[in-house]
Amino acid sequence: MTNNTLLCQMSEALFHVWDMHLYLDTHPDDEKIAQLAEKYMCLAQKLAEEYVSHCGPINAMDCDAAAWINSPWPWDNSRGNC
Amino acid sequence: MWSYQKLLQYPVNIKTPNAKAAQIIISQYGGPDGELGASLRYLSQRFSMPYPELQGLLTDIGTEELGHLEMVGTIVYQLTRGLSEEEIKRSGFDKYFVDHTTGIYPTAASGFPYSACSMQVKGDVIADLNEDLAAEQKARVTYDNILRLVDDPDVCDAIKFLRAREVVHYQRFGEGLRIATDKLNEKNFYAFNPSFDTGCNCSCNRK
Repeated sequence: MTNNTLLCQMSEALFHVWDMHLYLDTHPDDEKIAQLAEKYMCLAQKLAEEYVSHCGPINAMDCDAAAWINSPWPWDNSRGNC
Repeated sequence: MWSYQKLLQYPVNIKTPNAKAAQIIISQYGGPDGELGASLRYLSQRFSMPYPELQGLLTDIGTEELGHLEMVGTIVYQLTRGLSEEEIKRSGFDKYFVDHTTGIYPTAASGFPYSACSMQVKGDVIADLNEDLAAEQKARVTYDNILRLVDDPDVCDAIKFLRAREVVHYQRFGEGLRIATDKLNEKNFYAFNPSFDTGCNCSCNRK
């Protein structure tokens, strides 16, 4: 991931959260990492809100049907990155 | 149940179609060590897996593998967009094209369709976790082989991400195996299956 688009920033923050989540499956008592995961979760949520307002919905349940089908699908890069 | 997020775990943005690369990479969609088999293996093994840490691990890694399946599908889709008939014939993609056009079908690069015979759910914690460790290594080797055969930096970037995740999952499954063996005391070191022999609770008096 070399460019600094909103999509990349959000994906990066979400990835940090996810990778720490996996780590915590086998290290449930590691409070330091749990706190760090929470910090990244806040950042990811902030970036996700920004992404949704500029580029379209991420989750099917939190938007209107037209926005869900009309925003680009993840495999389609012909409409440019957000 | 699952809730879908309308984004890839790691962005894929391939600008140049390449039917030759697509034919190789499809193996990680539906081949013996591909992402479809990985997700089915882990998500199916969860039911008979004892210990909440391991149920959580299989759920989470199985879910991530579904995201990887979507990434591999995206790579193949973007590599096969806008191909000319001439390119299809020249690259050898014609053998896939005749059955699937440029749709994404779960198959190995050899043409062998996805088969659950390449994975196992044994219903035994030690057997299943060792299968998972081997599966992560086999997938890692497949990604290494893809990196030997493909040189488009846009493709390699996404493949390197997927390769790195195999290494992380291997580490997590190793920790999972450690958790499982720590719960087997000296009276039950591989002697019985804690997923099946309920009531024994690792201090079974079985002779």
